[in-house]
This record gives sequence, structure tokens and C-alpha cells, in this order.
Amino acid sequence: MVEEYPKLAETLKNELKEALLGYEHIAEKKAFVALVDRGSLIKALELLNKISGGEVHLTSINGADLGEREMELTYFIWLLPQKIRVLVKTRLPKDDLKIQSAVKVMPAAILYEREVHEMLGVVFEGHPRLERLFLPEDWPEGVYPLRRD
Amino acid sequence: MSAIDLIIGPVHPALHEPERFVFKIDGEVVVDVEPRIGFVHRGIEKALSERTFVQDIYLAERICGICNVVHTLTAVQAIENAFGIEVPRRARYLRTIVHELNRMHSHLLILGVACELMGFDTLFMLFWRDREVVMDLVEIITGNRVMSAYNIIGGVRRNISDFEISEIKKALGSMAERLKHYKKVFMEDPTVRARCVNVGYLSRARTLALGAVGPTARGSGVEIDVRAEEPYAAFDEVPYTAVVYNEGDSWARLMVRIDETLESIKIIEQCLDRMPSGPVKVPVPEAAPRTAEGFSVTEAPRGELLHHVYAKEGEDKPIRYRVRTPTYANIPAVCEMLKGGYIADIPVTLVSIDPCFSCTDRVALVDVNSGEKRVVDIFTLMRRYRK
Repeated sequence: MVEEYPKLAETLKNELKEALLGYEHIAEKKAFVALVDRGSLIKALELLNKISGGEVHLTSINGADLGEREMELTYFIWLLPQKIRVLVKTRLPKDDLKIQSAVKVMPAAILYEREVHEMLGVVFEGHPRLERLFLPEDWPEGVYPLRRD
Repeated sequence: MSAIDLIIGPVHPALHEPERFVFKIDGEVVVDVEPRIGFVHRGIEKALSERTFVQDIYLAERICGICNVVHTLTAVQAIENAFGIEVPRRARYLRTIVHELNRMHSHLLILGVACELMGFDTLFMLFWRDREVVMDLVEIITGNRVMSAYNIIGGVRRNISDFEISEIKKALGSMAERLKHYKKVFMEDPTVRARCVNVGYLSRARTLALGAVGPTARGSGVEIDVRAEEPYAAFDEVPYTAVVYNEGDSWARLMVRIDETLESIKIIEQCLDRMPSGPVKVPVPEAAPRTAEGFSVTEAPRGELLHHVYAKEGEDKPIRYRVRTPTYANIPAVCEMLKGGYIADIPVTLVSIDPCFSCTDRVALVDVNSGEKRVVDIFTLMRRYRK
């Protein structure tokens, strides 16, 4: 619910400090969008887990190639008690596509991370099995179909 | 006894979309499950970003033949979200009606299939008879039974007349009575209870952690229903409360669907009663009027569906189009449900998450030690394992 947005913004600011690169709550989109530094992504997810008392639903992890330099990851999260849709975003430079895996914090990430890995080439460090998910076995190594370069 | 791999798929009756599950079995008990998905990966996300926004609606409709309406609805809502378009009220009501009719036919379909798998063919026929009524109603409103192409960016394709409204009300009234009877059968019939109760149990905590959605989550007591929590279309004016069962077994997941079908009738009736007048569509630009990101989350028959689109000002094609379908989200959960259960319960557990169905497929039984392969027809397998 919209009334919970300021409280959430306050908590994120206090806990993440400089790692919270920006945030906005858009009534039109009915969502709270937070942009965090990639090193603090797991901390942000843990924080959301804590705020909701573990009542958190990871809807999806979406990756998007934004052009020449950056890749954007969006974690769609639903907080059950607060009834807030949170979009945690993080940007990765294309020459260093590495990020910590979220599987330990949110087990639902297991398939989504594999998909982002094979489609865009993002490496999720600490994922138990970062293998192909949708693509066939004979798909060439190092070719990522949803990259725009 | 030696461990045996039971391979189900890529084509199998419990899976309309080809997926492959390798079950490690010890005697009759499933000890581990390994899913392999992607056999029908058509590269639709890539194709969506290579077509115009208008073409994308029709391509999105073809992601799933059964819940096609929800895909067009989510696609147009995501694009409207990115473009910043307000849809007329009447159009939002019409969208809700077709969306709920789509849910009804999808739920009745899977309930019928579940009954057939349990060996309760009479109820299967009854469910499917009523599904025909729903298909005809979709035809009355949209002009087509299946691929309706009803939702467009900025509204809906055609209006509804008072005569059509009265026809729909008439058909739905008698259907509610029959559905209440089927619900009673589901609650009391010994065959249904023997095959479904305590089969494929998953606790609330695990269901939530594994990110299950839709009736799969609500059958385990997780209260997530986008219609109730994040109202879209006309749901902000037609209040809805999620149907939740706490049992966590296949029976609960199927009961959620029966109750939701009844709820859908109520939603449609309310929409028809409160239908506002006015236009059903607004003119929209072909190219994106601004650089923005849009997304839409809706409650598809199988659970939460997400479309996420990146639009760039002046371009008529999205930069990135992402779709997260409900069955994909339910796969980690169904794997966990199957563990510890009997082979005989695999079909019922799989069907309880509603992964769509076909009936011509085969199952391979592989003995890992000898490497010997036997391919048997699913009906032979069902006869062997039917209780």
C-alpha cells in the first residue's frame, strides 16, 4: 500500500547508505523502485526479507541490455505484509558481468538466475548450478541471444 | 533395490508444453526430481523486441493458447504503462469480463483433465460440457472462441450490446448451480478424496520461498492474488478476495480452482451490472511517446504473470520485452511436491499445478544399472499405477 512507501524509503536509506543510488515511488506504476549498487544487492534483498518477516515473494529477475556499456537487472519483489511491489534494480558494466547469487536469500531465484545467465551472460557467483536452462545443449559457448551488441 | 531413473518427457500427458523430468525412484517412492525445460523455447522475447508494439500484442497472444486473453491483457497494460495511456472505464470492465471468462474455461479444462486422471470420467465430461458454454460466451463477446484478439492498446476491439449482456447473465446463472454441485462432489466423493487428499503436499513456508504462484500458492495458504492485492483493469471497482486453502495438497489446489470459477461468475455479473457507458477505446500513438519502462502484473489462470517492456522515445519497437509465465515460476515448487510421493501420484501432482495437457505422449522407463530402455504408453502406465 502506498502509505508504506515513506517508511520503506527511510529504512533502505538508513541501512544501505551510499549503496542506495536512488529510489522513486511511482503511483502510476504502483511500485517502489530502488536502484542499488551491485555490491549491496544481497544486503538489500536481505533487508526486504527482514522487513517483511520472511513473507516475501520473488516474482522474477529480469535482465536487460541497455546498450553499449551497461546491463540492468530488475528483481521484482512482492512484500506480503506491507502489500508493496518493490523493484530492486542494479546496473552492471558490460566488461565485468558478475554479481552475487541471490539463491541463499531467496531460493526462488534458482531458475531466474540461470535464465539471465544463458540469455545475457551475467555470472551469478555462488549459484549452486549455473547451467543452461532453455537453450539447447549444442548452443555455442559465449553466445548470448538477448545481448544487443 | 537399485536406484532407477524414471524419465518423463519431453513429451508427456501431464505437460502440454514439452518438459522433461527425470525422477530418481526407490521402489515406488520418488526420491529426487531433475527438471529440464526449454523444449519449446521459441525465442519469443527476442521476436517481441523485433516487432512493433501493435504486432507484439498478437505475438504475445500466441505465448499460450489456453490463457491467451491474459497475455494480450498484460501486454497491452505493460505498453500502456510505458506510454502513459489512460484506458476508458468501459474498456476496463470489458477486459475484466473476457479475462474472467478465460479463467473459467482454463480452470474447467484442468479440473476435467484432473478428473480423467483420477479415473472419474463422468465428472470430466460434465466439467467439459460446462466449459463449452464459456467458450460460446467468449465467442458472443469477441467473435472467436479461442484466439480472441480482444484487447488492443488503448482499449478493446469491440463493444457489447444489451442483448449480449442478457445472454451472458442467463448462461452464467445456471452454470453457478451446476458448479456448486461439482464442488460438493469434490468435497465428498471417495474417489476424488482418495486420489487427491495428502497427495503432493507442500508447506506454506516452502511454497512462498520457492516463489510459487496462483492456485499452487493459494492451495498452500499463501495469500497472493494480484486481483486482490494489486488491482488492475476493473478490479479496483469490483472488489475481490483471494480464495485460499491451507491444506497444501493436490485436493486444495483443485478446490481453489473450483471456488475461483464460482468467484469469476460473481465478478462477471458485477461487471455487467455496473458497466459504465462511454467509449471502449482511445487513439494511441504507434511509436513510444517517451523513453520509459512499463510493466504489468496480472493474475493468469495459472498464477501471476509478468510482462516488462522497455520503450524508447520515437521508436515503435521495444528495446527489451520480458515475459515471466506462471508455470515457469511453479516448477521449483512442483519438484519439491513430487519428492517423497509415489510414482502413481506423479500425474495428479503435476496436473494440480495445471501445466497444460496433451494425451498422446509416452514415458520411458530406464534402468540406470543395465542401461536398458523401455518405452511404454502412458495409458499402460496409468493402468499399472492406478489405485
